[in-house]
Amino acid sequence: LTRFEATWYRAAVKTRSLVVAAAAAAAAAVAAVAGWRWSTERRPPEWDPGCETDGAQVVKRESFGPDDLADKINGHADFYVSTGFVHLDCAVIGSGADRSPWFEVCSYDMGSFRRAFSVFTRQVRQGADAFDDDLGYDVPDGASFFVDGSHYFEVIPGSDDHQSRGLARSWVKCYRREHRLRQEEVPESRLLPASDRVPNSVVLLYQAAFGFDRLDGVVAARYRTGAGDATAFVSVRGSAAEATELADAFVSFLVEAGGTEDGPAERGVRFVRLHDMWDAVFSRDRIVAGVHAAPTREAARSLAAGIGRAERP
Amino acid sequence: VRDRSGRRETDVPSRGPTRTVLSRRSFLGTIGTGVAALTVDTPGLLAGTLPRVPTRALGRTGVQVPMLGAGMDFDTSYSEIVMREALRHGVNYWDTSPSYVNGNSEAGIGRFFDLFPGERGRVFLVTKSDSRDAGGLEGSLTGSLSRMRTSYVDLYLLNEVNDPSVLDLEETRGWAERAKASGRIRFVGFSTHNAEPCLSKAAETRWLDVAMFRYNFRLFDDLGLSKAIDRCRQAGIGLASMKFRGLGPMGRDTAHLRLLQLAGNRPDAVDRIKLKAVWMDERVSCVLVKMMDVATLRAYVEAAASTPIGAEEKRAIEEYARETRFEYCDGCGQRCEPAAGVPVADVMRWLMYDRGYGESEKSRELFRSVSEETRRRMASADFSEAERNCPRRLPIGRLLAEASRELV
Repeated sequence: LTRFEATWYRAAVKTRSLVVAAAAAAAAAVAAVAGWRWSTERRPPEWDPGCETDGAQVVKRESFGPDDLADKINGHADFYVSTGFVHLDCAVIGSGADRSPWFEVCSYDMGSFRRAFSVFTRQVRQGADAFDDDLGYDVPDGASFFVDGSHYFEVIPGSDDHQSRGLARSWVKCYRREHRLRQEEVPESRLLPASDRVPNSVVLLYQAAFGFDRLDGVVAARYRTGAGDATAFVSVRGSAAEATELADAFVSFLVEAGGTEDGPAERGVRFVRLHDMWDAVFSRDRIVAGVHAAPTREAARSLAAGIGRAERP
Repeated sequence: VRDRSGRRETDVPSRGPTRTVLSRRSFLGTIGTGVAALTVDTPGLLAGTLPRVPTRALGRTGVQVPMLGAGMDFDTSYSEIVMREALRHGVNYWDTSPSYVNGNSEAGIGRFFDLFPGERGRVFLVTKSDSRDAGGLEGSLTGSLSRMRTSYVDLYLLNEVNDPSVLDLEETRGWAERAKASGRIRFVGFSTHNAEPCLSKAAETRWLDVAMFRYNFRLFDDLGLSKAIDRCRQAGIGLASMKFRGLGPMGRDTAHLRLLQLAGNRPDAVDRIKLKAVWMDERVSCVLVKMMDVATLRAYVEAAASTPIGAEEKRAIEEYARETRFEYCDGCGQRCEPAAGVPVADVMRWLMYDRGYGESEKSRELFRSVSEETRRRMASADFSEAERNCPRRLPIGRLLAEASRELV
């Protein structure tokens, strides 16, 4: 474009925008007067979070889709969108004459329990107080986070005062009382050892676990070993052949990243030393499993031996 | 020269190869002419050595930063292999935020420095704060330093500054200067999605070192933005950019097909062309990209370290930007949906998933959530009024009809 063309184009767009905005406003007004609504399952424009206790009321509502989620949470939007985000509803709830104290509740529709569970578990803060079988937790600053079916919730006090924190906590208690949190089983987690597991450390890595683009749908947890922390992981694949191939590919990935295979496989478990840490990788039936970044080979071997001793999914 | 934390500025690597890049003026000047004699170098690739990302000076900071930066807007707790690999390739500009993944992005970086304490000095570490007042900024910085287990950050950004007047706040400026004097931050800047006025304002101030803003091939003809970038450049403000993809095209238009063909029919290769297009603008020092896995990282590193955008690719992406100017959905459903009576913005997005990202299963699943009655309406109704209301003049009727055929 020439400079003249570009200037003309921008002026034209601005003029058209004003006309379009006026037309849209008029159309919206007509639709509102007529009580007209389109016949789709589109979410109602005014989400009702419920549980308006202690005189608190919704004072502001917002909704976002994948295209404009960044308007609400900036660069963090990619995290949700890449995990299958569908829709976000937020409401600011306040009490008192000036709507203060207040808090904000945001409900992320992730499309499925596993996706909601994934974004929830990846954001668990250390030292949080878990509730409802680890489906949610409270943190000391008054915020709460939980999963309910395909939705992930964040409840954040509006300010650091006691009243706002109390109001937010009351809402969470009310919600949990009125909506028993809907949970679906994540069967892989039953394969992970229970002993020495770091509390609240189970995560569902939805994609690219440990930096390997092909390793998705991984359930992992951190463990205390004598020499330091390590991560145990499992992933259920479509077939035994696929699991075997993926386990081999993961070992190759670790070697390409600078690792070296450390000794022969022990009962099918292969060991890779990388950056002075040890990975153990194996497959059994449809399962790829192992230990990532253990401080010693023995720690990797011992933790790997505990995987799958419980019930198979 | 040593900074207050005792590190030499040269601790931030500047060993990457340099190359000649077309200036902005030259870039615009060649649009449509088909003339583009670009320099070509292939550091590492042909020689069989490790490719390293070229570096550029970050404004008056004097620091050489890689053209490719790592946007760490994901949980880095399980990504130490990616982070190590990034450093091997010279991708040492790490951008995070306390809000990313509830602080677990910063916590993961802290875990990385715990595992590899020697690596802190190699990283140009960037984080942000939503606060503007001294108390909030102080608390935010203290929390970030604690999570990342470091005594300083290299660049501290005021996050999401969209009102230029924020850059005049004396309290904010005073806090930043004290934090720099204490050695806890080396440089200060801001990020914005309202680039033109904020960059222009930043150029008038004397306390901001770096600005991060949205920039991609769709914005190359925005002369106002270009002037604001020039002002920052002249003022010595380093520039980093984000959102290089300019996502949104929905049609299998001729221009997109050409891009895809040039990219070997791989959407990820189209991304690399778009990235190279931003790198053409030498005023931008670093382009932030999310790289969650090693394969993606290596692909982008090779794009940075090898041939700059080719003449044919450049012509194709310029043509693409022009031809798809009116095929980009802003998602402003409130403008067209009252007249259309169907969820236009949603369907446009699902088409983008299908055609842009190749996520056909996901888009079909989403499309099936619409009632049959609505789908029938999409296939046959008259959407001319909705099209008139669309600021981008999208062919809404045609696209809805295509969706009703292709996404079932």
